[in-house]
Amino acid sequence: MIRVTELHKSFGDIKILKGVSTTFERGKTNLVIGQSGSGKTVFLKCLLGLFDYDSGSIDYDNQRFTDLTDDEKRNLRSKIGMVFQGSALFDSMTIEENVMFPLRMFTNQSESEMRDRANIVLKRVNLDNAQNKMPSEASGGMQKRVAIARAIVNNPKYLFCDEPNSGLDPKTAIVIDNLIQEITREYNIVTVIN
Amino acid sequence: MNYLQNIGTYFLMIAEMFRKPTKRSVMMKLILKEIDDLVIGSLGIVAFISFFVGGVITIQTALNITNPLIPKYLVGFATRQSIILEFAPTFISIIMAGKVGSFITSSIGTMRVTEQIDALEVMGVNSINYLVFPKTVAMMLYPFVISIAMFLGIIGGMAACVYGGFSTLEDYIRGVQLDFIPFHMLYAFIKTLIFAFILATIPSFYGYYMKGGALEVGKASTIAFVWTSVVIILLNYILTQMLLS
Repeated sequence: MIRVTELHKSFGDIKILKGVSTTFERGKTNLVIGQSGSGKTVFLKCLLGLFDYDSGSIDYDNQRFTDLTDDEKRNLRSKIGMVFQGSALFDSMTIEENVMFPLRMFTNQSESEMRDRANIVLKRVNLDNAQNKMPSEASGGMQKRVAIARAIVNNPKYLFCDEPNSGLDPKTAIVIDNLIQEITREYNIVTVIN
Repeated sequence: MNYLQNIGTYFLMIAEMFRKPTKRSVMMKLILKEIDDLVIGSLGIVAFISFFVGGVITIQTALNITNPLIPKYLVGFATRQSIILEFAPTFISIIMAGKVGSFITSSIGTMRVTEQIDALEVMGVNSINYLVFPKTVAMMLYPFVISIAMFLGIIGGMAACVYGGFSTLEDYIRGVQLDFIPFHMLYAFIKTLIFAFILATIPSFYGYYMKGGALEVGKASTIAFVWTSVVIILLNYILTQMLLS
């Protein structure tokens, strides 16, 4: 569970978040809805610690984020999966290498074990024939699915999706929506989408 | 004030580079890749420039020695001193600030713009260690590049001297061997190692902390080149004062 209490964030004189309080529960797809420019991405980046907030608190399963040391924050982040608005795939790596990346960084699995796990999650997002493509060779929808596969490959406890449907046609958008809902139930994780 | 803030942030980045290291097996691959990109990939241009600039130094030295009392072998001596003390360590570094520096700034800057650095951070990776440390380690092989620049500069000078008819091969070699002080090589390599650190870290700083889009990546590359060159020139003066005077 993620609990947010009285979160405030401003850039200079412009107040973006004015006392946001909410709770995101495990096994549910939690939606953050708002107009364009209302601060959804800022809120998400505050939750991830990519932006420092002015006041308030964020608790990850009763662990207060601001009380953690930098190393503890990094350990917590290794349990977080994130799907960025622009997918943020590593463009010098193949799709398979992108998905294997979190395993390579945080596990001691052998190359074949990592490859097997990457192929399982790529199959889960219906991309089992695109392993050797570069991200630039994949369509927007494929890139989003690769980003989801990379986010879930290391069995995260929390999944964040920043506008996972932006720039996609309605059919692909529904596929991505359904996929995120299925994954949330399947992995029993806290999913936050804006 | 902005300059002071940048200097402070730069040193914080250097400190962060050594914290929470990336897994050894991953880091080794990154270092090898950076050696290929930054060091091996620079050999061609460094060899080309060194050979021909060595030749130009020799021709200009020979043309300016008009006094018949000055022996011809001094052409080789002057070429060697110019190349070992200044041309190879300092001016090749300025050229590398353009080639390697802009590559580093634009590659890290593009990662920043496309949120790839955010993706690393969200995964719990120390992105500064992951991106900057392998480049810094790879650049520690930079003295190898400078050794080649020294050798080819002197060879280029020899070719220009002999084929241009300015002196004989024997005179040139005699000049190159004349009054050789081994400490000058040490001085050149101390400078080179410090410049290598600057060449890896200042462009990384401008790429890592850039804000904006594609246009700003280009601007950051230009600013990184300017500041890398300025710091190299200033440090060159300070190190020469400290080590040679």
